[in-house]
Amino acid sequence: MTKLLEINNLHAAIDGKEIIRELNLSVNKGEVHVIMGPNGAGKSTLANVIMGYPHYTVTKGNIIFEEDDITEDRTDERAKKGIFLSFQNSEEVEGITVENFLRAAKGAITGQNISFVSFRKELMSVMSEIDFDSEYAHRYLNVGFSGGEKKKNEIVQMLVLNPKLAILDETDSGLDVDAVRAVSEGINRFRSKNNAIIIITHNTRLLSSVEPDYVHILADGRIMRTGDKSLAHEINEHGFTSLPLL
Amino acid sequence: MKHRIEEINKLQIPTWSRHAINETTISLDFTDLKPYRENPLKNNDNCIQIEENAIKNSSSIRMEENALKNDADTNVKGVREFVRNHSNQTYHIHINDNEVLDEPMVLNFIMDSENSLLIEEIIINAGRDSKATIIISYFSKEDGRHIHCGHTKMNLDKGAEIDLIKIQLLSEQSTHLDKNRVTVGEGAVANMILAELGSGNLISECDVSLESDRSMAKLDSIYIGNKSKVIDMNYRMEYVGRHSQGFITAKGALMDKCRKTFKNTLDFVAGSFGSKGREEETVISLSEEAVNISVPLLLCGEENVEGQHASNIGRLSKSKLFYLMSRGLNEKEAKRLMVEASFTPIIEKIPLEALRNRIFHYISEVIQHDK
Ligand SMILES: Nc1ncnc2c1ncn2[C@@H]1O[C@H](COP(=O)(O)OP(=O)(O)OP(=O)(O)O)[C@@H](O)[C@H]1O
Ligand SMILES: [Mg+2]
Repeated sequence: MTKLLEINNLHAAIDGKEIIRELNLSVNKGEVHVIMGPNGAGKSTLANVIMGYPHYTVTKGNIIFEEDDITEDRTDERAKKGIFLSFQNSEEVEGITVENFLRAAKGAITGQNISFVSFRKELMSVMSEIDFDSEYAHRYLNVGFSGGEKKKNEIVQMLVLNPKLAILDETDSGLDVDAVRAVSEGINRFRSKNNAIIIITHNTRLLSSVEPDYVHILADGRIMRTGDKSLAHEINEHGFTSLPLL
Repeated sequence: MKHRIEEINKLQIPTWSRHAINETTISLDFTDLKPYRENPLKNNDNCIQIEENAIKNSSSIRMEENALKNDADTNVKGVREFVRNHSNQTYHIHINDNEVLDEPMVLNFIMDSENSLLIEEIIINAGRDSKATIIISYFSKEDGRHIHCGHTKMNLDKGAEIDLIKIQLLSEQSTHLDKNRVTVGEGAVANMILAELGSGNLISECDVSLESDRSMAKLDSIYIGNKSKVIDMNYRMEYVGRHSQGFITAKGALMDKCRKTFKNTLDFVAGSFGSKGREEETVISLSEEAVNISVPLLLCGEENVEGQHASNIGRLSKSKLFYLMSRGLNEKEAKRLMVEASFTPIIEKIPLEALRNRIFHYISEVIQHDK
């Protein structure tokens, strides 16, 4: 087992308010981890802290990625090292088409000049894989996209940038039945023994086709319990309050 | 010797503002500057390949030799008078009736320490149903203080279709003062691009008169403010003819502590029945300290017209920046992407690739040096 991500005793705060506390998490290559937890528990905060959003301050602990302490790294440096976040709420950026943006991103991450023609081919094939109309490649980044289209666009980016660690923050929320299937197929195609996925979710829909190795319950800023897939189903049926630790 | 020019970029109707925007005054100091002697028709710059000028058949670019006619006056009103008295380059561009020029006509003014003072007058007459593209560029070959003060008068006869493209990439220490007067005849179309990218002190004016029925003009402008640059732009469309159409699109990016004033006027005079106008400004503000002043003026002396103003300010918010950076772009790459995305639709209209590349290169340089 090769260790990919290790979070040690992490404390993170925003505007002096501590949101993540004493959090430990270890992710190996080839694994799929699911994080569930009540609204406001700190799931998105954790995702943002791993990605390095400067808004949050890490007050204690560290984040190790491939044996490198990345706690102080800038966001773009983390992306270049292979971390990807599919945003719960992605930003709309006027003026930049999806295609141009992704080509620039791919160039930045690989440090190579990306040929226009081969990139377009790759993008078109990725988009068709997840049933995303190729028309959207020419639209401005997320501008006027529906909730589901934004999520699909995040998965397109994940597949094109091919990170080592993909964190999917509620990527399954707001998707219709067909879209859930398309997205989970995309995730399964991405999944390999060389990468890992952290899925933040409120339901088990995605888990019927994406088999998780671990399910964690995050509440009150820390991981309260870790189990296997059955834990997710338990929560799905009985809710968080049924858990003895809460 | 110092020369003072007053009443520049005068607003048609004065408005009250604590920023004193109604008009501008400038002092130009010619001491140590050398009058422009190069031939702008020649491809005299190593870094850029501009095709030889097309001066076809009987249409012509004619130069008049009249270097620094008069050094006496030191205080004048308006750019026109100043250029009249001091021009060291004068060009008449004449396009015959019915003539269609496929190749662009290019005037390429390259400034350096030996050619540091350019005061030029350009007169363009486009004959009936003629068609041409005219590109005028101002580059600084090297760092240093250069002064450019120009007046361009362009007249389009009935049915003419002219693309006038001006690209200004002068050095940071330079002053650029450029005035354009355009009259558009019946059914004629003037497409203008003013790429006001360089020079630390820039004053740009464009006054378009849609004189006749179905006259049409499009004015696209891009500008970048960086460091402590001062930008003063004054664009005006006057609708005289019936069913005339005039559109102004300005795209800018503001950084550091620059200060930009953009005045734009749509003036529908009595009798301009059925005319349409629109002015749209999009500013990308990349600095909290940059001063961004816009003064839109919509004057309607005619009832049956359609005039619109729109302005958008794009800010690269922290969350947007985080999103872009999470995809591997550093802060400067993210900013450059934003600015390029905004400017590209206008830059793409410039027919010479070398010029387009030069502009993209300039944008990335400016952003690279942004703090
Ligand atoms: N900028 C902020 N300022 C103040 N509080 C914040 C800020 N951002 C997040 N919080 C708070 O931090 C807590 C955790 O928020 P977070 O978005 O991480 O929750 P979540 O677990 O992702 O919830 P959900 O399931 O609703 O997405 C919440 O109480 C939230 O209000
Ligand atoms: Mg969340």
